[in-house]
Amino acid sequence: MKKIGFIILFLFIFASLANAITGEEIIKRIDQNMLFKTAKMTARMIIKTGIEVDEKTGKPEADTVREKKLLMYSEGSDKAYAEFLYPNRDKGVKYLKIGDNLWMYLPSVEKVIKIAGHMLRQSMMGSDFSYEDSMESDSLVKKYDAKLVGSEKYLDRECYVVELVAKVKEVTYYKVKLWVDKERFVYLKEELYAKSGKLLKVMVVTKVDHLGGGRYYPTYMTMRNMLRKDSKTDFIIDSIELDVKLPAGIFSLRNLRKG
Amino acid sequence: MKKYNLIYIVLLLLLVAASASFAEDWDIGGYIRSEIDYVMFKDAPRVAALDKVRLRIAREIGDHLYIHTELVYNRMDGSSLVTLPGYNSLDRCYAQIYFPMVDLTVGRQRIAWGTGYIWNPTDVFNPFSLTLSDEEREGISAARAIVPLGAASYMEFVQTAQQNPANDKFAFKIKGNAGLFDFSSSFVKLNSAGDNQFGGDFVGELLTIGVKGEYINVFLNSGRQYSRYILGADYTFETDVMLIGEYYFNGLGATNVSAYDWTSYLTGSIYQLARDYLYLGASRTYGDIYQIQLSYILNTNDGSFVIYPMWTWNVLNDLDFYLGALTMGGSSGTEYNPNSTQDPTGLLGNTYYFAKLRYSF
Repeated sequence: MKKIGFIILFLFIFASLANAITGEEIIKRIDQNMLFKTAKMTARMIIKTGIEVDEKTGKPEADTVREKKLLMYSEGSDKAYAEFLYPNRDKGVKYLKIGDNLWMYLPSVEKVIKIAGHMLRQSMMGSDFSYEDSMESDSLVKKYDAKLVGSEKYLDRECYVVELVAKVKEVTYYKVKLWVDKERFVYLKEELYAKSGKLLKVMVVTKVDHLGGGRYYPTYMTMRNMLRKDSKTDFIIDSIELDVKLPAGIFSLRNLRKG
Repeated sequence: MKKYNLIYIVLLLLLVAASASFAEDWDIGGYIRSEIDYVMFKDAPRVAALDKVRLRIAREIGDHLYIHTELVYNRMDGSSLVTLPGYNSLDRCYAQIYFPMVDLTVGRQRIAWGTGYIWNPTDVFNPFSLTLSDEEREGISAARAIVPLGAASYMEFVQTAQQNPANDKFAFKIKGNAGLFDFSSSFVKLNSAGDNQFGGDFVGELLTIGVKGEYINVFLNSGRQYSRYILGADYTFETDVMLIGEYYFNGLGATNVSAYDWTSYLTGSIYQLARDYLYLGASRTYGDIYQIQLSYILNTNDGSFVIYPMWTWNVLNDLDFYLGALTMGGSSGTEYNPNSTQDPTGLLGNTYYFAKLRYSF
């Protein structure tokens, strides 16, 4: 009888191990969701500052709200283009990313400016996203070692909790902690840390869309720069088309200067 | 009456633009700016009001043609510093034609060369000048051809058409990218007298610090030659505080105050008097709402300086308010604090306080 018990226990442990998912497999599944050949998006960035808890409602209220609209194209993880369409004061500001290079076109001075070094850390158009954040589209697997550290419920969804530690130097954040939806393999919360262990930013995903073919994509994200006391930025993707034909020469300095 | 011509044109255009079908095809925008300056002149304080309207009308016609015009109306009132009645100008007016192998731009346009923050020795078309500085640099009438060589590299040819044909310039630049650096080399035929300029610039990243540089060597027909260069660096902290430093070497400048060429400076033939300058800047943004900036320019040869603090407030999505000051100081008879013989206009050596509102439409 003891023998049978051992066999059942062994089979149970074996089956559990066979079904267990590793941290690396989880981020591979995230990459499958987030990476694509080409994409065209229209999005809004809503920057809220001066946030304080309203005494009557008990909810946080922003003192000032600024909305920006942008058009984005991307190809793989190396090329990205963004153009601001609204408001008028920002209209025509364009960004181009090719590999690790980032350029910005400012219509007010009619000049292409290269953004390099720590300038990449600067807030993009006053938002809680930095230039680096907004142009980040690299594969997680290539840049991080992943470790599954637990499971917990987040926003009523069962999530894996995964810790990522940079394995290459060229990363914006040394350590990342993700809450990954077990069913859809999209992270619903992301904590971004400096090498010192200091929490720099927190991103929460509140809307995920099914794009067909079993692919899910976050379409409503809220980023909080923890070094700012009272601001947050919502990034809302209004439309997204994947694997579409993009305008010829869109990822070039030539296009950045075009009218 | 003449000065109101532009206003009538603007109103007419806005009226036409109100038609939805017209507005769909045309890109119409610009800004209206009103500024009040309080100037601590050496003799007495004065107040000046400056108004500016910039109207952009542009249109893309098919995939290969783009036309762009910018009309500017400027007016200065109050106990004026200098007589500056309202005037109109057509500051940009050009057509861009996109061929498969080349982009051609013909007309009055801005050609912005160089990588420096403040000084751009390679920019022969519109160099920085403290007395001429405005939000936009003036356009220049020219034909420009850009031949792309790759996504981040191209060749550029420019032929200017200036009022005095003897000052017409022909310029060539080749620009490339390697690793985290952009770089370029250029040649400029400065005039018909046979003065030429060779130069280059770079911008990139070194140990996470943004670095920039420009260098030119001018060969005059007389056999004389001189060089100019800048070296700059910037660093941004996690708190969004950005620090910038830039050194400028002006080979045509003098190290001794008595050798300054005031006549060329005041007539706009040269833009700096001394040989060595230093720029230090710091800025910080608070969301998209507030920004504070502090700029400091030092003439290291005579010790005169410019301090320029500014606070910007984005009141509404398209409405910005600026509050600042510009102080020029140093010993009497120096570049930024000249005496009345050196600078009869009296514009230099003062402290300007300003407040301005700018509405973008």
